[in-house]
Amino acid sequence: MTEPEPLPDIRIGTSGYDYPEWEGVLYPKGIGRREYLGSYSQAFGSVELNFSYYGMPKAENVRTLMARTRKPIDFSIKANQALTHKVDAATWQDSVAEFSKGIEPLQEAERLCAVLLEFPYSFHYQDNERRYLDKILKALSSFPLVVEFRGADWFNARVIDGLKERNVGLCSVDVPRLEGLPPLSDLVTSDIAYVRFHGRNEATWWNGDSGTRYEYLYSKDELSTWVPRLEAMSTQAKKVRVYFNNHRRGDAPANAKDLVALATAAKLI
Amino acid sequence: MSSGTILHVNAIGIMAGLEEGFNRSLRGRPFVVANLDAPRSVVLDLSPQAHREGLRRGMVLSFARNLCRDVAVMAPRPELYIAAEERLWRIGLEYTPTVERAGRGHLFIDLCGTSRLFGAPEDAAQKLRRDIKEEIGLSPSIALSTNKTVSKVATRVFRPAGFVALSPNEESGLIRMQPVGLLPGVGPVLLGRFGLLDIDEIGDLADLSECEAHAIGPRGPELVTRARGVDTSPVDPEPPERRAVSGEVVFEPDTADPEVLRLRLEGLVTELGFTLRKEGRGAKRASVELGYTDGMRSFGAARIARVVARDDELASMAKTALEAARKRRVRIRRLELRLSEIE
Repeated sequence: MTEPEPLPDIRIGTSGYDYPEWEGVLYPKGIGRREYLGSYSQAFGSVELNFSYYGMPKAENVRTLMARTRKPIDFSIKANQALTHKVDAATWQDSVAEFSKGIEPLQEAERLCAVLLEFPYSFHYQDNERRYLDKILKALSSFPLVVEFRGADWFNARVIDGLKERNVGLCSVDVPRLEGLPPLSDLVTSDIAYVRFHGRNEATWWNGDSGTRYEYLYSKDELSTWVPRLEAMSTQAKKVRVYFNNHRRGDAPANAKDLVALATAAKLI
Repeated sequence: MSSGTILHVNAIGIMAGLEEGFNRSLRGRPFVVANLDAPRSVVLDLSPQAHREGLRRGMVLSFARNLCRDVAVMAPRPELYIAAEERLWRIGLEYTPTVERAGRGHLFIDLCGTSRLFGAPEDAAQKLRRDIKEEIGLSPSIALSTNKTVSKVATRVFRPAGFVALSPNEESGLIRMQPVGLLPGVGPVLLGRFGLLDIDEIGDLADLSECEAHAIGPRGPELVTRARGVDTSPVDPEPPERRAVSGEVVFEPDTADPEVLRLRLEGLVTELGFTLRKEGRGAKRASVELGYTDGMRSFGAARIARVVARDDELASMAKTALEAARKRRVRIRRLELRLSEIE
């Protein structure tokens, strides 16, 4: 008798967890913010931390976060804006050192899934940016890395080959189909396949703020088209991580639960 | 923005993919498919892990083994690969009759008019991707756009096993930035010429003027048009054997002897000419592809204005194509003759 195939390591969660408006959607009402992560860990197997984008993570805070989970979920963590959006030629290396020190406890505890480097739309495929990308990937090479590009110009064979050579993941994104944004695509370039759902709100993508841009609730039909894509990605990668960033009104956890249900029905998880 | 309907399925590495599917112990290991009995065997196909070790298709097996000591070698099983290709084609036919077999592991499928049955083209593409995985165990690259050229470039970028769906607005931007070697029709010879002309990306080629396009060679204007993302050729469901007939000879040992090449070429002409005449058909074009000892390939073609079917006329056209293909003084391992534009 042949052994059954082991299930692929696919985990679905959200980008961030610390949203009071999720009380009543994901968290019981009135539980208090200190309890959010514990409650979250009972619902999902992975979380993408994004507080680290706004402020440098501190080792003691990261240890506290790990201790607050009730189940041993893993963590992906978004790189600080000083490394992706507001890069200062004079200080970025110091920022790398500070960021690396802050997330070391996650690595030591073997609960770090990936460091996400999300580059803005203004980060174009040009010589300076390409050199910086090479440098930052080298500087953080002791961590599992994933890169998210917001511009379509990065989707070329040279970049893809470069990511494969460095075992760096290319983040697949679900975004509105607007000119200049990444094409509808998925490709595994490292041991980690990584997907982010940002919503398909065309009206607010260019004009909205960081909240309204991601205001979107996916339908089950829209999510179901991702099931075969996740399945295909799971045959190429050791881990598949999926995070919903449409955090307004609790849309992210609601959609994450929907996708978990669809993936479970398809016997992916 | 909605995606185009021309789907390219690119099951590159079909031999290695199938071998891995049949032998689970190969998963995650470097291995190649090669004929161990041949005196100067070359790598026919390889696993992604072997590719990471620096091994390549067409590499001499002994050299490949020196590069990667623990590489496993699997003997080729042509019957298995042919059956898988047949199944791949039949899966495509379950979606639409407009399926073109475009070489080993390659299909073009026009999904136009299938949305009521299978949803939007990108959804149909995902269903097809799953069917291929379930029925054959392969994970091909798949790409959607409005034409065959763009879809084919896209599967070469999003490989292996990737997916991309492009709307008309996205196509030109995406293919412009790709290395010019990914454009169908650009082989090693043209690539060398483009290198001298500082044409590195498909966009550089697309920007050439009409006059400059002609200077590249007889196929220059056509290549420039393709580089601009323009390709009006339809998906042709006609079976390949109706579009062209082809045959090949593998020399063991490799040879550079012009007399041997001529004799074997005439043998192929006789064989293919007989096939054509039996059906009352003839060809206007002959093309020859040579595979060299070092894995490089070269290509030559000849065309005449009228359809010919007699052996002497076909042989004359084939010899012109052979002369055009013989560009290197390196021993030849494989010669393929293809007669096309059949009427």
